This record gives sequence, structure tokens and C-alpha cells, in this order.
Amino acid sequence: MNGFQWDWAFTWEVLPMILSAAKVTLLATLLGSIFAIFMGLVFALLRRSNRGVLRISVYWVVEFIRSTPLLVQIFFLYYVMPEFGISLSPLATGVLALGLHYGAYLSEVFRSGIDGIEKGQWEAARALNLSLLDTYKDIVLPQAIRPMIPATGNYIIAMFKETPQLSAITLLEMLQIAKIIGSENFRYLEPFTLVGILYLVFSIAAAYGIHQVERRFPKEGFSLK
Amino acid sequence: MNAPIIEFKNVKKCFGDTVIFSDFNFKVEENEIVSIIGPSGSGKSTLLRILMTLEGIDGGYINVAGESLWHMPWQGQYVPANGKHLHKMRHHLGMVFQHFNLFPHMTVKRNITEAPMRVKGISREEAEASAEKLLKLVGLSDKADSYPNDLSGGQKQRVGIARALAMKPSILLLDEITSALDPELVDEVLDVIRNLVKEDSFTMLLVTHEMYFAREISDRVCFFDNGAIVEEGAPETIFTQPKEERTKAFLNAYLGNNS
Repeated sequence: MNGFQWDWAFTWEVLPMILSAAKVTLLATLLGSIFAIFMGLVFALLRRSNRGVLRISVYWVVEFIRSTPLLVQIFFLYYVMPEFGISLSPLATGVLALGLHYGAYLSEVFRSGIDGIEKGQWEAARALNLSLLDTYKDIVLPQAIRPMIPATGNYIIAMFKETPQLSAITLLEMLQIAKIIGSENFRYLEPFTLVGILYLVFSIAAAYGIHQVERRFPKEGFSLK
Repeated sequence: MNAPIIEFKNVKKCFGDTVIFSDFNFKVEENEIVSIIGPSGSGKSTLLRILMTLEGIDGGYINVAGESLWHMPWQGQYVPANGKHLHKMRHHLGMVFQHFNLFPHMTVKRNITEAPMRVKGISREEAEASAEKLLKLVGLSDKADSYPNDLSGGQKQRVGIARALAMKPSILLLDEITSALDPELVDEVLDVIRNLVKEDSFTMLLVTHEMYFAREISDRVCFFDNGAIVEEGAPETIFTQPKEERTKAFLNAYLGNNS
């Protein structure tokens, strides 16, 4: 029953390994977020297209992604795509899966943010003959960003907490390393506790950071001079 | 006489089951200033919004500067205009909105330079030089770097005018540009328009509730009711000797019985 005794020496010994695995977790989250924001924007804009077929197809793609488990998507990308000649590293697969999955959720956030822009802004843009691209880029998105920040931040934190699912395709992220350390040393208490604490610390820091970004962001939107 | 710069022919416009125009005909000559007055809901603003391509039409034809606005020739017939055609046609037109619709995240200067830079591809230096001239014209040279939310309503609307002028439209559409303003701010906006028409010739179509202004500035006044022109003519005639009962009733309600 020695497992219930906290071993500080062991803690310090395994901490560097877990921290270096934390880099993999953070990297997957960072790249996953960038890809998810990109995909979310693409989905949101396509769902506003005036081509009905496109709009409805994208709606169903988004519904499909949101209604199936992330783990299924991860397995599909990792084990099935090679049969079609596309084989990616665990990290690349993980980033792709996280990006698609959370991109589907973010598309709803972005869509409601874009819908929140007053009709008068679109009309002014049209009267000034701005192209659709310039209207989004210069008029709509800069104003829509601020209300999108809190929900986007929450999804990114949620994504961060889902990264252990990538251990299923052998990505050596925090939890996977902790499990390996545990099974090699027959001690699980310290590695798993450290992983839990690191998740807590990163999540709180991220939530605080997101709140600060939101607070400092100009109310009128990203300013253009 | 030249062909009219704006011509509506048998135009039909509905919002759902509500018919705004059933068979609307209307002409504006080049460099003519036309005021449109009338009760709310009579289709005054819709007329301007159709011209600015913010609303489509359900029938008829509209010509602007010798070309069809909502239609284009294709294989020998007229078909509904595509985005490219509308984009080309919008170069003729500029609009100032009742609620300003300034871009709140842009400085005053950028509000004015945005479209010339993006649409006409003018360099930033050139666009800013022209914005400075326009700001001088509307008396807001010191506000170039302010944001719209730091301005009064009257100042916002003067920026709105400068922003529309920056695209050098040949036809200016003014949609109740003083209706959202406190009474004491109305004149600073109207003065800008007064100076504008003094210095340059414009085709101008304005929807307004400022009867004195309509009388003073217009070449022609049209009284609108229920999607039709009930009466039109020189401002003096409309305001002093209206023929139609509906015009008289409307003007009495607006101006009191002393007119």
C-alpha cells in the first residue's frame, strides 16, 4: 500500500518528463486552435452563402462532425485515411481532428457573431461598393471579433482538455507519458496528480488570459486607422 | 433635352404581401435636385434603396445614366443583373443614411478613405489627401483621427456625407439625413448640403421631413402617398398652392395652418 505515500523524490524525478510532454499537449492545442478558427470561419462563411446546395451541404457536414465522437474522428483519420493513401503523423492527425471537430463548434459562434452586425453596416458597405471580401475583412469581422472571444476561448480550453484522446493514436502527450511512467515504476499517484495540476494551472491561466484579451479589446471592434 | 439620368418604368415592388409600388413611373433629369415628401410608409425610402441596389424590384425597368440598373443585356434580351453589373452601376450612386451607418471601428479619416482605397484602388496618400479636403468641406478637419462614437449626431452625419462624396458619385441619395438628429443639430448638416449644391452641380434625390429645406433647395418637389406620386412641381407651387387634397392635408399637418 506504499502507493498512498506521496514521494517527493519521485515527483521531482518525473516532473521534467511530464513537462516536456506538456509541450506536445500545448503544441497540439495551439495548432489545433489555429486550424479550428480557420475551419470555423470557413464553415460559418459557407453557411451564409447564397447558393442553397452549398449552404445545406455545409450545414450537414457541421452537424455530422458535431454529432459524432471526437475519438471516432481521430481513429478514422489515423487508421482509415492511410487506406486512401494519406498517412499523417500522430501530431498532424491530432491537429487535423481537433481542428475539424472544434471548427464545427466554432462555426456556430462565428455565425452568431456575424449575425450580430447591424444591417446598416452591410448596407453602408454595399452603398460604398465594397466587395464581399472587403466587407467581411474590413467591416464585419473586425466588429464581430469581440463578442466571439469568450465562447471561442471556452472551446479552446475544452479542446485543450480533450488532447488526452490523442494518446489513443500514440501521441506522446501528458497523460500518455504519465501512464508510461506509472507502469514502468508501479507508481501512478504522483504522475497522474502532476498531470491534473498542470491541466488545472494551464486552464486557469488560459481563462484569465482570454478574459484579459476580451476586456482590453475595443468595444467598437478591431480598430482600423 | 438629354435623356433623364434616372427613369423608373412601370416598377413594381412588394414586401411579402404588401405592395409598395404597383406601377411606378418617375424621372429625374441630370443635375436636378428633387425632394420627396410624404407620410411614412409611402415608399419614399424604398425608392432610394432600390436605386442604391439595397432592395430589388419585382417588375418594370429602371434606367440610371443610360443603362438599365436591375437588368443587363444578355444574348439579345434583358435578364436580371448579376453582381458585376450592379457593382458597375453603383459607381454612379452615393447614399447618406438616416442612421449614419458609419463604421465605428474606423477613424473618421478611414471611414472616408476605405472605399476609395479598396474599390477604386487609389493609394492611401491620395485617398487621405482627398479625405482632408472633404473634411474641410464639412467643417470637421479637426476630427480626422476621432472615432465616430466620439462625435455628435450632426458631426456623424457630416462624416456620412463626406464618406459618400469620396466615391465621387454623380447621383447623391439622401435618406432622411436629419431625422435622427436633435433639432439644434439639423442646420449644421443642412448647411453642408447647401454649400455642396452651391459649389458643384449634382443630381440629388432627397427624402426629407424638413419642409423649409425642401422648399429652399429643390428644383422639384414630389409628394408621395401609397407608393405613388400624388402631386409634383416647383417647390413654390407645391408649398403655396397645392392642388390635391391629400397634399394639402399633409402640408397642413406638417407646417400648421399658416402656410
